Amino acid sequence: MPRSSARTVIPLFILAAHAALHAMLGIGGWLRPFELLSLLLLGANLVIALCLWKGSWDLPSGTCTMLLIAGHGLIGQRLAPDSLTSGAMLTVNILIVYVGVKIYEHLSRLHFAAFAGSYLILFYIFLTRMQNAEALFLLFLMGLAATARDFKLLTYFWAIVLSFTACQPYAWETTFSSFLILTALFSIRDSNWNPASVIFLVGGMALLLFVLLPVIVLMAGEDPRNVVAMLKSESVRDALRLTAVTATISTVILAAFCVPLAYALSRLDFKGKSLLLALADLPIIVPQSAAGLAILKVFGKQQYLGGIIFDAFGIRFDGSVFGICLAQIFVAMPFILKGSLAAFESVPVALEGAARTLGASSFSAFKRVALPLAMKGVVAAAILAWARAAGEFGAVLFVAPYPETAPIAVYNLFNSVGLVQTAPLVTTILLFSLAMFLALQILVKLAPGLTRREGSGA
Amino acid sequence: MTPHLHIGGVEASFGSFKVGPVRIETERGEYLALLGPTGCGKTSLLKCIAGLKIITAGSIRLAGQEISGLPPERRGVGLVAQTGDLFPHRNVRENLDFGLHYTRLNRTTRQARLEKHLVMFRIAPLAHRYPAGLSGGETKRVALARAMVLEPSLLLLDEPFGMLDHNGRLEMAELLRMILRELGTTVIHVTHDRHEAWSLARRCAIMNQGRIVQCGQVADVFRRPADVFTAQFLGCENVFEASFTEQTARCGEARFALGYKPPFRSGFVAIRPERIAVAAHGQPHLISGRLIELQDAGDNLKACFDCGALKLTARLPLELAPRLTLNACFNLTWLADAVHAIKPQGDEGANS
Amino acid sequence: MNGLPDRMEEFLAGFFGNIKFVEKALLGLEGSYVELLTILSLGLLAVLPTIVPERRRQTWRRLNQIFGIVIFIYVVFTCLGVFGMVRNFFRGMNEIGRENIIALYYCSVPVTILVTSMLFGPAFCGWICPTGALQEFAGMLTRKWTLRRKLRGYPFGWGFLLTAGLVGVVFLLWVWRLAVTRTFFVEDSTIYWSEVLVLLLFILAFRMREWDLKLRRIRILSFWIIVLGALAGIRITSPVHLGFAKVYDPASLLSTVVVVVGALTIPNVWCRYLCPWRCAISWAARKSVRFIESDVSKCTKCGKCFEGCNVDAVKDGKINTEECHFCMKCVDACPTNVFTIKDDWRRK
Ligand code: SF4
Ligand code: SF4
Repeated sequence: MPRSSARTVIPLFILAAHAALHAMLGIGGWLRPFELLSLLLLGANLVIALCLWKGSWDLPSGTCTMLLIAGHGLIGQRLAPDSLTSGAMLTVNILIVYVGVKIYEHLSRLHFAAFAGSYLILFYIFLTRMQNAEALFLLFLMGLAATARDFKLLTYFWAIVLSFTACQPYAWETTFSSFLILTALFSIRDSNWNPASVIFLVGGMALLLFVLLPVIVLMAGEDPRNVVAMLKSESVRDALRLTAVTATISTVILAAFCVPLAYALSRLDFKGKSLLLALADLPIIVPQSAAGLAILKVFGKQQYLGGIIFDAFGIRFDGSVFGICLAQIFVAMPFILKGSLAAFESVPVALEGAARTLGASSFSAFKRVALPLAMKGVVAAAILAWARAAGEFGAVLFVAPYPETAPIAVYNLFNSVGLVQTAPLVTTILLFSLAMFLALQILVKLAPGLTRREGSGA
Repeated sequence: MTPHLHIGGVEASFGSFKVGPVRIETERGEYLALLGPTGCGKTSLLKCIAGLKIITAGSIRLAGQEISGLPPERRGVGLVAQTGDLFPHRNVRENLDFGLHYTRLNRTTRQARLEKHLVMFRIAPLAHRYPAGLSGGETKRVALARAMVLEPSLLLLDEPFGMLDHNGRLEMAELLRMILRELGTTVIHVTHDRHEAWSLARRCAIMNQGRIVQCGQVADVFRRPADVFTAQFLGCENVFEASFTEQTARCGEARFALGYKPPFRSGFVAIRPERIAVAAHGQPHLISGRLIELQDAGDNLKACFDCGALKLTARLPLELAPRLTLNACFNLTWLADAVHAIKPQGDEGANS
Repeated sequence: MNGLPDRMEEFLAGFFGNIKFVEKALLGLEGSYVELLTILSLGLLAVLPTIVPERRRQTWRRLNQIFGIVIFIYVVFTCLGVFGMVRNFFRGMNEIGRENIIALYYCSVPVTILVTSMLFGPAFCGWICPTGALQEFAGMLTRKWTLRRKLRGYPFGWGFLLTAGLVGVVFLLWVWRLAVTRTFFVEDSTIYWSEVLVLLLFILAFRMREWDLKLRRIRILSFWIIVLGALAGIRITSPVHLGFAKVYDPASLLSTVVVVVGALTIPNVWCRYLCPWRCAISWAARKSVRFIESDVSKCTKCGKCFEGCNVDAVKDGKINTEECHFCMKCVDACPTNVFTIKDDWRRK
């Protein structure tokens, strides 16, 4: 049988050559013949030869492995600084050869070409262009071994490699943004794929990232210790706390009024409804400074409504927490209203009808059918409103410059000490808002009762 | 005995579309089919009865009590919408439990009732699934169970067989019969498919353009449609203008015996197509015509004959197919009670 | 009242102070290319599952696990266990292009684990991980009892609740004591995690079966907390870290104790609900070349695979790949050979 003869001849030949060369080179003084690892490698080849002969290892990858081990035993052992390095190199090389052979056997030629090409380019980048990058070479080779079998994975891999070699010191930023773009591109549904929209998408995302770049760089570039130091400072904490508390109060007030209103608007039809909806957008259109002044004009202590309220309840709006909330409510209102309106409109009226024939009063139908079904959208809208309220600067500045909320604290600090010293504070605030935002999102995702919609039964 | 459900002169308007005045009465435990073409106001009428639409005139009395002023939740009327309208955020069990929440039953009774209905409507295995994962038939069954678990005395069904495949329909029909038999619920079943209605209901009402045009025993309505629309809607393809003298109808040259004397002089005749038969040569016949079109309609043959002024459509048994050749002449015959005289259009009254 | 706890702590400190062998081993290797040995050994360990003879596979696996513990204590001290691994990965990546050797030093373990997971399945968990191994070995002691409970769907029991309560109380007392007698790393989240674990035990004591899969999502949370912690440079230790630390670290010891106690009551409790690294591994191994294929049509529903699996990842021949540790117990246990280990290079 030709196959079984190959299985005898090839391993035997390699083994013999390995042993003979080992002896010869040992005598010639090229390597130390009795070093442990060299002997181990010789032994390993013996084992593999046996496996091949018995048929428990396939011939191509077995042969390659034998050749590799022999090569390492004879040459690498001498070149590497010590046997550990040599061993690690050997492990990685075996992995690479194994993957290479498998790709050659199981996948297309194109895959193999990509794999081999990647190997060579990695070799070129790390060993010829960077200093002392052998260690990295090993690391990245492993990455290549894991990703080479799939073009998508390979693209991600190269995004990482290029970010960390060519795009230093912005490696993380580049990785992050390229991953975003790649993920978006790869997850486009095949059926909708067309060149025009893909190009538009890439262009649009490039602009978006360009816009976001300052934020990303600022956040990634800041030393965490400064941020921690910032967080420990009393005034910063106060500002953050105040921001969180006022934004939360505003959101709660908004939710209490605007969510029912949105429901009503989605269910009723009346004259002037479209006018009302247009008016609700006013806070977006009006410049925030103008809004601030307007609020002051009406609710300021000496002004008439503010005066009345102050006289009656002793509540003043300018320069107080109430004023901050008022300004925040003003600017955040359209977000929660429009968001929950859309959410309620997506709930079929028929479901409430069904609820009512089952015995629910109209309030109960709202509570047990419309609200749970719209909850996802409502909560998303509330989160948006919260973020808007927390980030509000213009209106708050006019109504209540003191006590300081976070955005105003940034402004004041910038005015007094300049850009460089303000950066940690800004980073802190960014991180804080981001953390709050994420936490809220995650909370919504995790809370099962809120989002149990179109229930994924199992 | 007063009727269980009495709908008298109900009117409602939806924008420019008007429903009514509508008058329907049903006995307790009766199964009434409400038939009508798409857009005739059937569903709107159901909504009026259930209280989801406000009526502008008339009265609705259920078991002797006026309910037209009550909000839907206090009417005690069950409604099963065409799409089922299950609550997507609740699983099957919770859907059923939704209504029980408002009944002042104690926990154990509630549980027992729930379990009973889960089993009765064969949805126990689905109890923990969500509506998104149910098939059409399952959705309908759950919707039905959800309405029935409250044990309403009146159940309104809106196209219960809509969007179901054949097996689904059979299963549904069986469930409905069970409701009829065991629970004694009064049912109004809205549909546009007459076969569906006849498989279940003994009485039916025909609705067109917001009004009830005829209401009566199924066989009656079928055999003696009150107007041209009803005749055609019930599948009678042969409706011709005619004048009547004594017991004969005349359309053009042709004359048919009617078997009774209609109370009007001119109007229409309707001849049921499935009652028309091809007479053998030499047998007595009523009319002869040339076969101009032949179509296999599944369980019968649709044949159009050109009989001079009239174009008759007949539904013939399939076995006749080899004998029917296009453009040949055939003798046609039918019994006198296949012919029905219809009053002229625009003439109100004479509803049963 | 300070008598007993004090003496206990002294004893523990002395105990850990006295096993200097760990430290010596580290000293011995310092300056050499430890990280290279990591790659070497982990690589070999990861390949081992595929070449050991099938007949005594579980024995080999135990051996491999023991070897894994040794490797981790002697060599891979850089990874600081599963938490530190995530953090150091980040740290190592930051060194790329600056101090390449350091980069390799920190990244070698996580990269090797992820790469082998992407190729050979999540065998790290089932065959190598010291934390996993520790739990598995601890779990063997109570194997019979936990198995019985598992087969009955983890029913509620007063005894169980009482024990959990006792452990919780002892634990909290200890924390309290530590808090008043010494300054902690405030941000030392080990305490936090162990506390979570104790709470979990309570929850589980009530309604294990219904909650099981949902609770496993906590892993995702823990992963992100660790990642964010790493980004913010917060210092974190994790269970089993105590073995390699050069100082006596009460937090680590504490959490190790809790993990072991937890594993005694619910097999591999840490892996199921808390391990952040597991998130990364199951993500990497989602489309691994090597996987366990199951032919459900052959399944006779004998329940043997379910009995064996430590993480309840398999039921009636269906494997939940998110949870599977690739320990291959089910493969070995199945009398009708439902499971086959397969390589598919085209797997997408
Ligand atoms: S889940 Fe985590 S602790 Fe468990 S074996 Fe895997 S890596 Fe180790
Ligand atoms: S599913 Fe099988 S291989 Fe995976 S962890 Fe469970 S027993 Fe081990």
